[in-house]
Amino acid sequence: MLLRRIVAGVFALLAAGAVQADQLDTIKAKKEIVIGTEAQFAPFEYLQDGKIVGYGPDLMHYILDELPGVRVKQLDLPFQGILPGLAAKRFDFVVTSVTMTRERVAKFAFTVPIADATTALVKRKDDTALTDPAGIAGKTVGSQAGSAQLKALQGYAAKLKAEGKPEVTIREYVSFDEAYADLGAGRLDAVAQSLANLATLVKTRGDVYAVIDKPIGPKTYFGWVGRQGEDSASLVKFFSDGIARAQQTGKLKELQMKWFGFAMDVPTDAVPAPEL
Amino acid sequence: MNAATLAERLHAYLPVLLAGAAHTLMVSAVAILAGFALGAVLLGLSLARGGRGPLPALVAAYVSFFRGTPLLVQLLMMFYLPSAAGLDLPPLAVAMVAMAANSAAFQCEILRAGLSAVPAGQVEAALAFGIAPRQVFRYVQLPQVARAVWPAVVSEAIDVIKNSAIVSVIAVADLARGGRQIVAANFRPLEVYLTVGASYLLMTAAVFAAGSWLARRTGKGRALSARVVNRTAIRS
Amino acid sequence: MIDFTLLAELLPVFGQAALRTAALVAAGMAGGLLLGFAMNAMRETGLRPLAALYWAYTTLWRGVPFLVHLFIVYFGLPSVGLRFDPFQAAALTLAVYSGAYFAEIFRACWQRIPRGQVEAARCMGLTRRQVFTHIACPQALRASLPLIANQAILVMKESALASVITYPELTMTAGKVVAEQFVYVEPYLLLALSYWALAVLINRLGGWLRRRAAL
Repeated sequence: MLLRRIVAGVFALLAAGAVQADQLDTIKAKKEIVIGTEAQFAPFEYLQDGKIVGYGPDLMHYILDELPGVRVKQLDLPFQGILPGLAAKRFDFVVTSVTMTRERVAKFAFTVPIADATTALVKRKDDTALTDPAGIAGKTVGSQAGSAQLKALQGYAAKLKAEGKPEVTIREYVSFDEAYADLGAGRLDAVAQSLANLATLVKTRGDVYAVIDKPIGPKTYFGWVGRQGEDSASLVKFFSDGIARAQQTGKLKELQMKWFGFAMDVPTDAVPAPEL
Repeated sequence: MNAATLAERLHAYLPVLLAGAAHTLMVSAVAILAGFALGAVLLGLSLARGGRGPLPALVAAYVSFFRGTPLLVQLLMMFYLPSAAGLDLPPLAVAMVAMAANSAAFQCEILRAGLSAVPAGQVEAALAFGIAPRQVFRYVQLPQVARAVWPAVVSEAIDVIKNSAIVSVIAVADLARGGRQIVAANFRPLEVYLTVGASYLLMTAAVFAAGSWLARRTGKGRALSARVVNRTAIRS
Repeated sequence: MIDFTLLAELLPVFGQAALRTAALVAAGMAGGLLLGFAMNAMRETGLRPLAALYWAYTTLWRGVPFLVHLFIVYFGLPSVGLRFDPFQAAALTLAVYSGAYFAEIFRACWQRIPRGQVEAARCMGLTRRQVFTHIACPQALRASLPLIANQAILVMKESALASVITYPELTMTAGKVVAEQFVYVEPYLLLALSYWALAVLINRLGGWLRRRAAL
């Protein structure tokens, strides 16, 4: 009898956890939205004096102006925990620059793009020998574990290998900041990262780093991410519409100029099919 | 970059480092105190009914798991797995719970060793005199246990503070994370990380000093603690 | 709830990573034991500057988290010209860090040698070095074995932080699987089990060593 009660109680608990409601409605009712961010990705999102600032937060606050009175609780954790955390319902939505890849689009719901994410290489400025991406054959290149930029790098390295060139050694870092540090320290010959980030890196640290201008992967975009499913659809659409609105009012271009120094062409009418 | 002198730069780091240190101390304090309470409970459970039944085995498994796996793994598991069952704790709470659960395993064994360091003859004699078991515990065992375990508990408190350096993987902005944030902006890793190291040293030294002072004030000796140290070897 | 096919797929990957963790632990232990023994021997000479060095080393190294040690060695030292690769940096830092703990273990065991033996030996004309080698070492080393086995488990747990400086050991491998395949139950479960298994192995090894030494 007791056992039956316990089993029933457990089922009730699990069922209670399984009851879902439309996320956007829940957020409006609770007046709080929990956001997952990796604040180690300048200039998209990074920490300054303990606050999360950047292109992403500015755009997010612009969009969230449409939800007055809703408090933003922004969690800062390593990138490797962002998508798993979203799947595990640790947060409602991800406002961090996540590159659209086929695997991610299959498992999660992306908003329309917020920036161009095409991958390129950055090298040490005094490394005059490295002028073409193909020059990394036989060298050591780093990128972030779990990132699409790493995937682009791996794809490019495989291509070089198929052409018979010496193999590229790939090192995986928890964050890009540490990869840049190792590049500066001479442990790496290059780092694979999106052009948008690299442009800013070279702007502030042009004395140490230089970009190799040719991309090493297909055209990709950064977007924000929500869970798949009916409950999250309205939340994802809310952010997508917000981004499209920013594009139309010119706010997107304004923020891009502010944080990158150049504007990017991003399609904001629909989520583009990923090529990576 | 070199415009500011070392002193000015250190002064600029202070707000970020202090905010991080506050989180570090908060998580550590809860972990140490809750860990002690939970450790005592665990010990009680494993000694109940003369050490028979399923409870002692469960406690042994708990202790073996929490002492035999890295804290990083425990933190990650407690961050992701409960959500699958519908439980939702904010990251700071998860950090406190995970570190308390971890510390409880160690403190349980420290207390166990402290208890066994009390000569059995004293307990037998007291019981033979007709003193109630509860009073035997309070007047014969407890004072000696407290004296014996104090150095090990202080040591565990220092370990908790050091272990807290990894909670940034589950979104808690602690002192180590503050260091990484500063380095990402000013590219001076040696200087910043040495400062962070010195900050931790300050905290652990303060705990050690406080522990020693408390020990001297209440006259806790060190005679029994050596046996405690030897008995808290991990067995699986 | 648990995908057993995925679990089976991940086993070989985790097995390889476990070997790398074991290599790191072995290197850290070897270096740490040598360093700890040397520091304690230095303290045993009785010379004041050496004793001060001992205290400075054990206090400073044990008072700072291992993660910060790793950051200083791996990210900080290149700015003064010392550049190590991930395994070297992790093994070196682990050795020097655990060396402080081993030094304290050896000190505790050395100080438990009955004074009477030492005094008797000195009376018989044995030098300090002979007392150290023939009287103290055998007993103290035997007594230190359980504490060393205990510390080995702690070294194994600290090795998990080598993942932060890109050494592909167990924790980093699990993190990679989580980030690339968006699953977390199976990798973290396997990760916890792998470390638990390694801990059991180390304990068995410790027990075997103790039985062999108890002659």
